[in-house]
Amino acid sequence: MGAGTHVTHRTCASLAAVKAPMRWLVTGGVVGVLGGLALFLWPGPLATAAGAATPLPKLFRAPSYELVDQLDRPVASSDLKGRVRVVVTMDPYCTTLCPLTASKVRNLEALLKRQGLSGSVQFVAFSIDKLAGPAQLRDFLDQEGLDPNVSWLDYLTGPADKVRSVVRDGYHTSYYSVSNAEAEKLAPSTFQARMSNRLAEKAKAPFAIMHQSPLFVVDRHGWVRAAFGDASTVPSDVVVSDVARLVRSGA
Amino acid sequence: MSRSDGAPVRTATVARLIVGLLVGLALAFGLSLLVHRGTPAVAATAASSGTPTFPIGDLGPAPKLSGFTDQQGKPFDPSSLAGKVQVVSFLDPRGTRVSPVIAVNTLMALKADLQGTKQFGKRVAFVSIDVNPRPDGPEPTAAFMKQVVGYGKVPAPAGDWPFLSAPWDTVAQVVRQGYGVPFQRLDAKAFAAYATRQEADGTFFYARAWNPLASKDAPTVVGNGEIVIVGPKGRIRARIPRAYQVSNVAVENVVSRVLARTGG
Repeated sequence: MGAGTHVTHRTCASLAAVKAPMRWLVTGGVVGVLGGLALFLWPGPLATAAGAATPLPKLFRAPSYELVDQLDRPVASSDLKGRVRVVVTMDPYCTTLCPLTASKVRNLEALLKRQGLSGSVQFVAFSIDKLAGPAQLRDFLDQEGLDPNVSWLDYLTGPADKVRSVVRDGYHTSYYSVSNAEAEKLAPSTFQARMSNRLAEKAKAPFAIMHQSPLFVVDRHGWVRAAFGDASTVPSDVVVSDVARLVRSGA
Repeated sequence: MSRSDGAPVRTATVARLIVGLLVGLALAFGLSLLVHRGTPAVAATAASSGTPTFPIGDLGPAPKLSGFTDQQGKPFDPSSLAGKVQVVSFLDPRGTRVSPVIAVNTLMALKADLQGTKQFGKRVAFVSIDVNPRPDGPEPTAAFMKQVVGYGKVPAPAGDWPFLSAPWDTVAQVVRQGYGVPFQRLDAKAFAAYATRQEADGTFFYARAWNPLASKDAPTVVGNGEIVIVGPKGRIRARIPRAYQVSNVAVENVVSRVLARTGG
């Protein structure tokens, strides 16, 4: 037993002696891998350089408002404090971009829901047509497959000067009325496909509204953090990513 | 062991430690690159400005467009595209969803930009392929170009923007295998199932475009709404999926880069 023990000790000592150089190499390798991974995966400057997100810039303060929603309920911007917002404009009689914006809103809500974020986000749409009241807004939402009773969407209207102050002055979004004849003349140069809108056909509005269709992401403190010129061409994953960053960072 | 014997041993040990550290760092760097490459990265394709960028490269030969006729009913001569960058789109002339939007919002706007720089028709040509050919009768390609795309006027000569049609087998072969663009024809029931899946994914195109050529009897064609950019030597250089939600500016960016790289 004693001899056996002695032999075993000697064998261990020999192995240790033989493998000592490799042991330092392996130790260095392990420390290197761990250190390297920590450097590259740590959300610091290196990770940022490798493609991780930087904070979204604060572009401008979102305007405050007191308007009414599609259910004719008074809604104020102060009601949304603490919630991230996705803001668009939609004219219920529009036959070009607004049906595309409505489609984008539906898809964004579905994508946010899949990420478990829908409860943290409020969609806000401003109607820019002075002829459309809450009933017309409900009809438009219904036509575009959006339930007017959902709580995650405020489709807002109000006196024309109040809406103008919010959309044009607050969100820097241009829109103006032209005669139908002029709109027909301008149509080919706008490069916007004509979209079906039964509500517009039925209403036979005496004028058309030329407008932009931007999309804004507003943080819970009321700062506009992302602005996109055309809601229909902004990739949905970019909006969802921006919203997710704001929700998860608490901004 | 004397001090003079210990120094080389220590040096060798330190050297091994440093080599190990460097190898480890290299491994970690390689791994982190793989991790970042594997991420379905928004950052890699689109900045927060919302303008996506699309990679360009040599993606193989474009198919030869033989056996097609243009919107004027004339046999198409593929050699007319030689030396030009081609913006190839796949449209349904009876479509009421993405086809009118791609044709007007993306392509017509792009055409205006390219006309502004005197490149349309000279260095850059558009080609559209009818992906929903009728089993009988003439294709409504000319009517689509005039009524839907051109707001009542022919938007471009057929030579600068041919809208090509061919029998279904030819179209399927050229589009699916030649360009590698997936698309399928669905009846009403299959389309309803497709729509349900896309609604859940947040990718369904809900809006309906005005199209007087639409037919309830026609099957619905679905695909990924792709535009393919082909270089002047007939090689596929870039793919732009879901072009109905890509701005003309983003497509022009790809065309300009292909022109710069290929000298087209």
